[in-house]
Amino acid sequence: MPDTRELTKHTEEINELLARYGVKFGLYKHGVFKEQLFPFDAIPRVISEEDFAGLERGLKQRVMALNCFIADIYGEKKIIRDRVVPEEFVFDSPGYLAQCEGAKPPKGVWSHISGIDLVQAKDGGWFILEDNLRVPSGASYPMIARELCRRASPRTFQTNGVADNRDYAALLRSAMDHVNTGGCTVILTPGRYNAAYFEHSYLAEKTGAHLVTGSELTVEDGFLWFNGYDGRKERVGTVYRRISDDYLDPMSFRADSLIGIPHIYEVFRQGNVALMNAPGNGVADDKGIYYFVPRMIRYYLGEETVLHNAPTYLPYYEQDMQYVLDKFDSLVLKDVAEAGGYGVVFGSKMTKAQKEDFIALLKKEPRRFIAQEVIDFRDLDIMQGGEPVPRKADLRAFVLMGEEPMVWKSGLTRFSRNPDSFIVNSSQGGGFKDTWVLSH
Amino acid sequence: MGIVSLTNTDKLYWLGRYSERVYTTIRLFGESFDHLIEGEVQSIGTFCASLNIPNIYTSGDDFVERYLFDAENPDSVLANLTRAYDNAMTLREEIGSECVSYIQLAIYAMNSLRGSENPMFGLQKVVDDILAFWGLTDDIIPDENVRNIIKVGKRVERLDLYARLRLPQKDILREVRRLAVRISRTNLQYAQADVERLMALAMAGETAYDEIVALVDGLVKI
Amino acid sequence: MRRLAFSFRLRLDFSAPVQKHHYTLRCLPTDAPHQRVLSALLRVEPESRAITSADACGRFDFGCIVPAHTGFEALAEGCVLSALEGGEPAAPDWQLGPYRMFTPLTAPGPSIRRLNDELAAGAQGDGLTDEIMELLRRRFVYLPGSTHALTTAEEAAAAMRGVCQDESHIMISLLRLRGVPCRYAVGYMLGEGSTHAWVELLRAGRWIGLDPTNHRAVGDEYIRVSVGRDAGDCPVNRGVFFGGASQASESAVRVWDAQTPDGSTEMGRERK
Repeated sequence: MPDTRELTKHTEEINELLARYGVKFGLYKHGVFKEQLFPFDAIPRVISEEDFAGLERGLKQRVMALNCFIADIYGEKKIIRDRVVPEEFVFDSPGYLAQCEGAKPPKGVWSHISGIDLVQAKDGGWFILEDNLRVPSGASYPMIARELCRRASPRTFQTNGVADNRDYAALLRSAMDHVNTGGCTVILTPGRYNAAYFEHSYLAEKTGAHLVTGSELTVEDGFLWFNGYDGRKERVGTVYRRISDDYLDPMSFRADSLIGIPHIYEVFRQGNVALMNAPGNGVADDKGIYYFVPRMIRYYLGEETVLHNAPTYLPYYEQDMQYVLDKFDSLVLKDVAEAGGYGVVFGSKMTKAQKEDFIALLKKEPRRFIAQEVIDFRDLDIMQGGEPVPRKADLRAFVLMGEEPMVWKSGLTRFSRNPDSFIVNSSQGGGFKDTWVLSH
Repeated sequence: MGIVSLTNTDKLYWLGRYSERVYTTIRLFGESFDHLIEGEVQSIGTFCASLNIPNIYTSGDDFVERYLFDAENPDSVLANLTRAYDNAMTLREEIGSECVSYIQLAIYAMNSLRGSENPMFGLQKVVDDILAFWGLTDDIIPDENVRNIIKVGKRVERLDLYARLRLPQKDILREVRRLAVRISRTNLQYAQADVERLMALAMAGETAYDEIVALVDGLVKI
Repeated sequence: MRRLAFSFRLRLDFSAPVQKHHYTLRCLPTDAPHQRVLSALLRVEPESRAITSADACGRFDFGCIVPAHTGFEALAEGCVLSALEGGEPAAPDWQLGPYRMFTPLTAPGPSIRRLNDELAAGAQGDGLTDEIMELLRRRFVYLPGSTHALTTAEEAAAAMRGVCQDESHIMISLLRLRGVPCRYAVGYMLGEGSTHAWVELLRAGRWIGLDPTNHRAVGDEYIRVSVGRDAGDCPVNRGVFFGGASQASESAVRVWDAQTPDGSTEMGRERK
């Protein structure tokens, strides 16, 4: 393991610098908007070159298969014909958007930026926890943290060969340019009261894109335009949108959206602008569809899965339901409709009454839940009161789609500050670490 | 010159205005605070009247607390600094993280000196941050138009404050000249006749302060 | 086969001026194997250039009126050959998943399930559809104004009254409960009135139209404009605009045999 003592001595100063640069996330507490600092722990997660090579292969494979799946679902639906995925897991999912039937995004790319969440087990093996193919966030945090860590302890980076992760902006820019239909690039934000506003503005600065809200873009004559104060306007070729499908276009999706751009979706369907990520991706990152991803990899790519799912059961299948009922106490149950660490319960932590209620609900709505074995996480050390203490942590890896899929040599490592908690989400008080990929 | 949206043009302009307002009102507050050391509470009234803001303060301590730190008081230094911050943090891609960071630092500095025995000491840090912010905007923002919109905001605010404070004609004239040069280097919409009228007023024997305030406030059309 | 001429007129009146008014109109028929569109014309007032496009639901036209206005009018006219080839050939069965799933507007609740219990347990094919049609004929009361655009099949089934949209939603819900793929169709019907809705269901690889409101099969006096999973997929008009105005709308549909002297002169005049 690389020596990081020189770096971790400066944890406090690095956090002060993060505060100086406004590295925050917003959240609503009791209906009031608040900005919070995102606590940074300077002990990095370290991934060896060899370990990363395996991750890279597995992540590319997974994202390629997911992209094929989305294109297939909104197109020919061959995977349904061949009975690899039951249709009710697709067309009944809240992530399936009928409006996207027949859509053909530029260059055939649906998921330009994929955030794949993984955990490492005690034996060193990696497991996929969840795919995020809609608007995954988090890359900006390790990016700026690295910048500040290098200032804090240049020697650490002299003696350890760590792949530079500040190339994320260049990777993102190449993904933006790859699908550009002709025109400028904008990042569309719901506004400063969004949890990830810092990230939106930071990525705009680093990629040289305009940061815009819906009101600065208009659809005219089948194209999308960025409007200047002085009446000049410029065609838009790529929109990296950080607002959800629902709110993107009041003419195609939620009619009450005030932050969307009317008819932007039609411009996209006509091939006159790239939306990244493409609307409709939710059909592939549903917790219910997760179970089928290894099958998709075999089906579309004819390959064996490199990175495995956490062992998962679908109560929808008779056999799995029986298993879930038998092993209830050792499983974690997830509501497929929830996100952000909500809707996750542990069988072992329920009272008898809670368990009975839950099982009744499970039998009534088996499609709504998945069950997973509780993985024996490899804990990561964090500094607390000057002492290293072990905590649960996950890794969000980022895969960007250019001519070829590109796996960012870093990732967002989130950890739980609470020793008893498995939930690492920033909205629930978690912190983050830099992720090092060793270059030799 | 790159395209700047209406929203961002407005924010750049107001970032300039609010940063100037914080900077100049801290200096004015310092003069007034100096009189309070001798217990001259009436200096608060003079201060408020000169800035044309309501005198809602019940004592010297109340004045220090609420004029500086009360976020709910629309005239407080903190409220104005927060407005500068609200604009700055949504302009990161136009002005850069380094520029934004100095406004962020000014906010931290301001918040850290609540309840301080010697606020002028700590306020120096806020002033330093704003000066650093201005220096940096001049130094690193590549787009001349973006840079100059902030400066026009700053010049408009300063002329507005100086005219309200009835500063001597030579100070007013200097500020009008600086504004006239600056605004011509932006794509901001304004009437050249207004600028010429301001110049005439500033050069006249008897300075028409109120007309200057009205003219300068309505000068830029966003 | 029948040659039908149609006209559809939509008028919106705003209580105050509105601007940047984006509209999407699904009011012109799509060329399909069962219906050939001979002519189709759309005029929008205030004048604006509409772009024609199509998606899984059919043709639509969209555009934007920027200047302030207090009224909006769309006039769609054209001529079709209807009822060709005995129904539109459906896509392969594995692609029909969306038409087998319930949507929020068509999801069954206790009232739909009670209706389902009244149908013969093993009924399928013509037997099932005849039973549903008959059940609705006997029990459903056509009562305009008793429901609204977002009334669900379950709500309509509980009250057993409403309009063609509600009756179609109930029928769709019952068919999907029995695993029959079916679609919601919007279009025009011979005579004068307003837009109409009916149900299309899969039979022997084709989409067959059934009109529960008029207790009959969809024949050559129908022009189909759009199809979807439910009414939400097929709004005739959708719009957003800037301005704090309320909106009143009225629409009128007319369909007539194009062979009549009346029809042919009108079409002749419209074809510029």
